[in-house]
Amino acid sequence: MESGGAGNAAAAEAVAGGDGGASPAAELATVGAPEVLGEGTAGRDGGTFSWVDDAMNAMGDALDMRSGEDRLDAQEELAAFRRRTFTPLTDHHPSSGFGQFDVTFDAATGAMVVTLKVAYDFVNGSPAAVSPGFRPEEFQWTPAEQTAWSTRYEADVSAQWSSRHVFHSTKPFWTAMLVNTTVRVVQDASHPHFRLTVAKYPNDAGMAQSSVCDPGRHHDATGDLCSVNAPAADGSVPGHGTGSFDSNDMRPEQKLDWGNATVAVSFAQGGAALSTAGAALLQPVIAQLQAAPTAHVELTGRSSTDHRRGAPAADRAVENMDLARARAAAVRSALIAAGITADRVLVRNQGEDAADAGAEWRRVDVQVGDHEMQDPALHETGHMLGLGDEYAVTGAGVGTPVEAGYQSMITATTGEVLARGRDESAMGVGSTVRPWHYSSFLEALRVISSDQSWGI
Amino acid sequence: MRAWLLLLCASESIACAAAPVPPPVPAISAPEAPPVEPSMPATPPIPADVLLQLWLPESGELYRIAQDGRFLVTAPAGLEAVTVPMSKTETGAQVVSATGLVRLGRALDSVGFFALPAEVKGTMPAVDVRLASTGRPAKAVSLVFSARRDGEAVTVRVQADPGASVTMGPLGPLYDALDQEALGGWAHE
Ligand SMILES: [Zn+2]
Ligand SMILES: [Zn+2]
Repeated sequence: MESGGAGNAAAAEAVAGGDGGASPAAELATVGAPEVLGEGTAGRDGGTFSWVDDAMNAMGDALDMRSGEDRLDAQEELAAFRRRTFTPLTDHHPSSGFGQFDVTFDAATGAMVVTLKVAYDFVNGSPAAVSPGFRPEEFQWTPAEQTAWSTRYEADVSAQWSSRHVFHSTKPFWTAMLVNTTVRVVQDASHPHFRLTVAKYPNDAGMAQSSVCDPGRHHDATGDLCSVNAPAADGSVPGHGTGSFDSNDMRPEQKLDWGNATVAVSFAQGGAALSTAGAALLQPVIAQLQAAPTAHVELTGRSSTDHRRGAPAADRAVENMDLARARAAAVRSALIAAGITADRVLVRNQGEDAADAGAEWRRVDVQVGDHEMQDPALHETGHMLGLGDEYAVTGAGVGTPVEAGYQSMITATTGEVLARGRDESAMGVGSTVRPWHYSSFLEALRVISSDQSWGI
Repeated sequence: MRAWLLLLCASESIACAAAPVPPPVPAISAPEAPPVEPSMPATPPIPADVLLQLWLPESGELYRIAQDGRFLVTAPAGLEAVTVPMSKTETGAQVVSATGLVRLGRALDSVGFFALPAEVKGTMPAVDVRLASTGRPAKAVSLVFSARRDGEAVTVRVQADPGASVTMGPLGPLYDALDQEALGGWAHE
């Protein structure tokens, strides 16, 4: 949904409905207009015969003689509603206590647009946060990579969060009034809802953490705590929140399958050639992947802590990471040669991390997983859109309530009562957008339309 | 936002489905230690075969790493059960690996655990700080670490927020090590 389109429609409405607006007087002025057939007849408003229709309808109203009186009244009200313009919400804060966004609503087309304004700050990643052996330049962005990341982030957020559920009016005879929600991310460095710090990591480094601080707060130096924003020079306190993201947030390698058994494919000392025995070990994995088309496979490339004789100390971890990468690449090639598509093969390399000098570390761990994968950036964006976490977090976790503010918002919109678990919810550990994930949008629709009569 | 503490394996979880059948865990019948303070329940004694345990008295959660690598979790009002650790480096492991146990041992050394007093000062932030992990305000609860080495058992308590190791004072790095090997809080958004 282009904002220009919505704007044009609003302008057209303003002409058709006079000052339109949200005032009761404006509504009263349009009651009795001949929009019985819906918005398609709106063009007759200023037409020659409208006053005749008005008069006839008014008489009918007064004498309660029209057939389907309630229905006709409702349809008239709906047509009037569709002609109204609605004041956009700026820096809207959902009642959950999380999130901040702008909202526009065009009743004529049923289009609600949720806009998340962000500013990007691309920074170098921290080598200490991942396995040793990646090269320093792999923690540095190129301008092209920054553009690619933000472009993909903006597209992926729209794809994941837009048009997943439709709102409908709960008023009698307003069944035609449906609302589609589009979510878009736009860059606004001067007045963002969230400032996103995005750190660069090697593609195969696996997971660094992502988190969001609520509006009015920012990540402190530890990265684990959110402090209140300091006043600016003019005394005003910036209202934005912050996000701490990384370059791998949109890579599915981020979510791992703990506990699923691994197949360990061994390699010769210093070697990365897949042996006959290693290839044989992959056969059951290939069969498993062929039998379960939605399953994926995760490869972890490893090495022992042995080093090439004479290798300078500074190069040792890097050489072993290169070796681990070559081993994982050999396994990946074998899987792809067997017909497994590349997008099902996830690779993260650990080199000599966690290893010792034992020969058993000269291996690639191969693990088949069938869980729905989660894009951490999209999960974090869920928080920016007003949603809370739904995964189990403590020894008492499974079945315990979600954050109270989040539950209250959901109760008031969908009536759903959530219990923490481990499922494919986008706010759990998967990427499925459930109906209650539209609760902050539904709440915003009620605010922007000054009308509670909306459901999902 | 990242979660505090760990995502526990539930019966429906993928990880647990592949987990070994938990061996029966012997009931702890050691004599109760004297209470630290009148209102506080007694710290569960650290069994002879356990390397490191973390107890949260307020919630009743108890996490143990046995010397053979088994990860034992007691949910509030629940029984202790062997659970698959959520290791940052060894995702397929059914128990904490030998090298993982070495890393936990090193973490105990790095914080000088066996020379710490029975209670250390946490580093809770000033008021009105929230956790990036959950968005909730930072809140101090008791965390009671016990570790055993060469027959000696030491217990150290800190008032801190389990969702942020930066609040745990000198015990922060030890919590981080436990988190990386087993608790899995590091993995949550
Ligand atoms: Zn997986
Ligand atoms: Zn989260």
